[in-house]
Amino acid sequence: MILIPRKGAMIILFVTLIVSTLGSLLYFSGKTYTYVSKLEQKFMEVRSVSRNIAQLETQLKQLENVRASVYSVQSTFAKDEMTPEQVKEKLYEVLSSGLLITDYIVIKASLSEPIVFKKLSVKYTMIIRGSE
Amino acid sequence: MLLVISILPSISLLSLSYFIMEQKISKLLIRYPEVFNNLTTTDLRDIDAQIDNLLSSLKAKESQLKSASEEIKNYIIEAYKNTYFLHSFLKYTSTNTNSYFLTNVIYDGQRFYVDFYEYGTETQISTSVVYNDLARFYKDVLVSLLEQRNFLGDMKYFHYIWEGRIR
Repeated sequence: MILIPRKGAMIILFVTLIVSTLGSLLYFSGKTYTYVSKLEQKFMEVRSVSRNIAQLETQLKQLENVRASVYSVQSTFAKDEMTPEQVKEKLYEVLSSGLLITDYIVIKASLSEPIVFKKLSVKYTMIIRGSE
Repeated sequence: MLLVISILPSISLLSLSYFIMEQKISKLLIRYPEVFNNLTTTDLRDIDAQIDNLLSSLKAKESQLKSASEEIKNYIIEAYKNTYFLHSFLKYTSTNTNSYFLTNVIYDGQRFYVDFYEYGTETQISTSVVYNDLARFYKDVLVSLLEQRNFLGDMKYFHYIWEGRIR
């Protein structure tokens, strides 16, 4: 057995107490801080992704509404002898009802001369064919 | 014996640090209800794994929603291209005071062609504005003022054609 003086033992004990307390304090506080801040970063990421999801869900709902407005005329609309007002009315009707799926549109005036058009009545032929 | 006693504070700090960590995590959970509401257990020991699982499932949902939106958006844009040139024509011709005479519209599912005359002392259609507008949805766009002629005093007519193909 090695005998050491009481004073020396006390100094060793005191130093051990201080060093182990300070060391563990620094180690645990550092570890806790690192762990909690990493966890908080993950929480923030969850929040940001959740908000994105909420926005996307709203956007998707709006897009679904727009998609529901896409329509196709069941058969072919074809009419001769239409007045300019009727053509305009039909165009507004077709374009304001939603998004029309079509692969064929023809609107043709009976005249193509620019100067005489106000003196003569213009008649239109209009054909709109729906598509799937 | 005294040596063991001297390291007791550091051992108690271990418990204290765990306690502090639990407190901090609890406070975090209060601040982030979207995380708390999605936890299956309140055991803080496996919270890390739970958050990782939650994040991966949320990201999967996010990408699923993104691709669904993208798909619908593309469908809507494709549908919009069918009649966008007519929307444009009505938009530009109904927002000014000149008169218009539409002579011909042809659309065959791929190409569109619009032929019309504008009547007024000055044209109120900017070819570059119309071009940029149509070029958003169509390629090979042509917005052309074919002819401009006086026909009654300072009254002129402007003969335009618009053409383009679906992208």
